[in-house]
Amino acid sequence: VIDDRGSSGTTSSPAAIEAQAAVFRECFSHLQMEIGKVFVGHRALVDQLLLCFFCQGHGLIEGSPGLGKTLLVRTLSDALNLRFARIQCTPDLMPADVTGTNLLVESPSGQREFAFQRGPIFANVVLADELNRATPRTQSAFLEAMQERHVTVFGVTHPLEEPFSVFATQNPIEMEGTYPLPEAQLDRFFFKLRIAMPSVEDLAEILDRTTSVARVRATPRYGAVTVREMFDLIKQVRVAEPALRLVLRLVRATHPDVEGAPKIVKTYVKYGASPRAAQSMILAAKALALLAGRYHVAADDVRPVVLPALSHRIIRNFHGEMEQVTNESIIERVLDAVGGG
Amino acid sequence: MTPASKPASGVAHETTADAVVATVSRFRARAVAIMFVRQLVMAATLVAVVAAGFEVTSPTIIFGDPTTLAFAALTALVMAGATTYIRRPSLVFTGAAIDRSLQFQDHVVAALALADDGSPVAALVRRDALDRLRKARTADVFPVELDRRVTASAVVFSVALAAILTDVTPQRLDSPRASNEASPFDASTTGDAPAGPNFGDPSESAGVRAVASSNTAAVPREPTDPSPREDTITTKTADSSSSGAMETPPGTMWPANDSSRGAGSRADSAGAVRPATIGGVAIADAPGAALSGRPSLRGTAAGVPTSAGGSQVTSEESGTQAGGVSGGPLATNAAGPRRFGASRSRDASTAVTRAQADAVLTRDDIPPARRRYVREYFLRLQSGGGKR
Repeated sequence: VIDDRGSSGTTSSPAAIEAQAAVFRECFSHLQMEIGKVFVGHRALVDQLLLCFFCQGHGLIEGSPGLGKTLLVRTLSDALNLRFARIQCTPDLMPADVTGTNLLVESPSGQREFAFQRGPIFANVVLADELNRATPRTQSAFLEAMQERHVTVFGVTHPLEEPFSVFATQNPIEMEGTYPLPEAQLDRFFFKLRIAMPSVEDLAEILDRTTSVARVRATPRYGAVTVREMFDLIKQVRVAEPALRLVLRLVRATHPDVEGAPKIVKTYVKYGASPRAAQSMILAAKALALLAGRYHVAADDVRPVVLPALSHRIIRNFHGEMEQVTNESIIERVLDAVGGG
Repeated sequence: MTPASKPASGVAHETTADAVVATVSRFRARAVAIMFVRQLVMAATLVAVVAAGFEVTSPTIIFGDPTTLAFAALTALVMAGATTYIRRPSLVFTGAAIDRSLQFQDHVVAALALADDGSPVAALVRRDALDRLRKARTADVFPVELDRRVTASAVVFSVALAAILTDVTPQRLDSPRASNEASPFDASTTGDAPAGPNFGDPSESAGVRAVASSNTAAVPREPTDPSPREDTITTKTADSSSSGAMETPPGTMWPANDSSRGAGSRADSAGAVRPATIGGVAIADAPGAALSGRPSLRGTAAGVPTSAGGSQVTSEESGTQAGGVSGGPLATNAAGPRRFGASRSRDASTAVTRAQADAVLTRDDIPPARRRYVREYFLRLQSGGGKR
């Protein structure tokens, strides 16, 4: 099956690239504004979510219940006029409930035949709510879709429409009856986004918006084609040598068996970041460079994306778990050690 | 934005690439120049310290004369040039320095890395870098400033240079060059010295070089001292009357006003055999050679080694030399100047010296008033009574 992405591919004219970069900045700004209408506060989180989406990555959103995780993702989809699907993960959720299955249907001619019924995964923006409540088998169904961008049902491969991003949420409080995501699946998430409690001002604004008559919705603009073009544009951005070296040093410094790793890594880390972490950082930094009006990645573009790109890819050892050393503190030390802080 | 850098105008990518490289090269040239100056300070300090060390510890090597100073300066220049060449920054390194100094966010480094890239994005990167580079000043990136290292080096250099130019060796504090007097036993004084580099005669730096060409000669003459003594030997230059008579007390063979020679400490302290001339005869390694006092590498064994009679009569151009016995210029010395610290057989040298003494005594061209002096001197040499 051939997927018609409708993408223009790489642009051959500098003027066209400049025009596309301007569109990207405008689109990003539009999304910030539209999401800001619905989702109060957390500007940095919104920016990271948009970066993740424009880089065609998947996000793992972690936060307590009621902080607006679902609202945030839905608003993103609405603002871009994309197809949105929400999957509430429970222990009895089956892979076919996610990917779809073959159903025996009757054709207009009266013949019965199997036809593939698409699951909710066939959307542009998929919200997998409380993914850690799904069984590992169901989680693995997400795994293939997230990585390969297609699903295979009864031996037939069905490509997913692009743009395709899965935003999974998980509740860090209620861990009973959950299936923690395996490292392999965690590594497939582009960013891990953490939603904290809103400030007092933001909370007051939330109350005002949600308890009044007026209902604010995001204005849809742009579309899937624009997002694909933006992704193609992002990939054309070049990486300067200092930024590349910084990323490489960062990733290597998270491994305890690498010479020169910080002491905290050697003491508390079991497994370091994978090459996917470097890919995530570079792609997100490219998007940031475009937003800054540059066509190359500088080291300054890397630093803001280090934490969301690495925080779920560092696996602590027993001592780290026992002493409750957070991944964020480890990453901060790593940044200091490699001079990226 | 210049037309060459407008990406929409379809200008060849090589244009912006060349412009970026040329601009960064301009910055690099300044960086190299500053590095050269810094390295020159370091190298000059090193050379000066070494020279000062030799100046203080080794009396046979004196760096005070302009030729030596020029040589030292040349050495420092070569060292600085070589170090700068080896450590010269690359274009990428220079670009990184520009980015860091002017906070260009890796614009220049990226543009240099994409210099050969023909993609439109690379053209945009080069254009942006060029726009920034054209507004930048080289002095902002590579300012001329004295850091702690250079300042410390400059201070050390000044101290070392002062140690070279001002004689800090105790035995030389009252040496003849300070009193504008020439030694009667110096090759340069006796006309033996060619007009070339004289590493051993610090009097050149003091502007009192007595004899430097063939029209000068050491002339034993009657002392100007109102109380003439038979055992007084004087020297003067043919064209200069500034060299005053130097008196030597009887039996000591030393000018009374040269304490360093009387002590003979320079040769003793260095352990080196000191060349000397008297009456145009180069005397080397003789027991009394140290008595001549003046270090003169050029005069070392100048008249000693090869001539059968033990004395070398100069050619026509030096025929005006009174005394008739000359050590000859350095060019006639087949053995060449001796290196510092090189040893020679004392017996052989003494034999040669005695032969020279005999030759001098048998000749009749020594003024009568000086014959006794010369005789006693050489007899003293023969008896091994010279101060060592």
